[in-house]
Amino acid sequence: MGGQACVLYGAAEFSRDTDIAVLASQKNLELLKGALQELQATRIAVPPFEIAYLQKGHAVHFRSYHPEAERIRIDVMSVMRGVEPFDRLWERRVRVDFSPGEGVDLLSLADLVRSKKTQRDKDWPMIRRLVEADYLSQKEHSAEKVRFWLLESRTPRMLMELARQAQGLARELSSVRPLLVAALKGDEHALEEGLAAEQQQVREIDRAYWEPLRQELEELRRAGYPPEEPV
Amino acid sequence: MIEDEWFEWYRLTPQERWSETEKLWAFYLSVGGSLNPEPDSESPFDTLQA
Repeated sequence: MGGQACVLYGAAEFSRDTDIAVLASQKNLELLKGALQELQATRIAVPPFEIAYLQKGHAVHFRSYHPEAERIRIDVMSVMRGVEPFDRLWERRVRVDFSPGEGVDLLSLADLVRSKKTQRDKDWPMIRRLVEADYLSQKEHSAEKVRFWLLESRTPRMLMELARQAQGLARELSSVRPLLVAALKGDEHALEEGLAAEQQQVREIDRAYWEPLRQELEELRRAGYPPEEPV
Repeated sequence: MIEDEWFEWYRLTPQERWSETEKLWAFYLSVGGSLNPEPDSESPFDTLQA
């Protein structure tokens, strides 16, 4: 769901960890625990590897010490802000195969884009690249795809072109994405300002979302909860 | 509409992009690159002990 997924979809990120979205059920966590033990993994920070923390939206962080994956960081999450519950993510997953029987299941592009709407600078250019790559990869522009691009593109000229080609849809979607009005007018400057404002607003929402989670982590540290523990 | 420098990358298949990234990784590790994520003061995970 993280940097590796971005690379596969067309963005470029030199990610040094592996982010995994999991169903937070007791049975599934037992299976994950087995896989982490095979990787000789250690949990390297609070919170503990418990279902309750994953369900609240925390990430649990591990490091592998297996010789073939030495020091690789693995972050596990189950709930992400602005992203649908795991069962919906699983239904929409996309499989990428590297060889027969060997591949990975990725968040769908739409879900990955939503998961990247965070407080971090670096995630926003990633969204732009993901949507551009998707746009270029489609030979036919279905109504569903045009809707997705109008709602998620962060490339001013692409938005203007899409709005020109699908004026009715752009007008309709401007009720949920006001900057499409600027795209319809072909006002690139206003569109850039709208994109910046949109980003700022979502980043503030993300910061507010994480604040209680940050406090909870701080309380765990203050309570002396062990920051590291073999799986 | 889209910067030229990105076209080549976008036109690769997922498997080709993965292969290119693997080459980058191999080089990075060969010159002693660290697997610790870069400090990121904006990340909610920035305070974790690695």
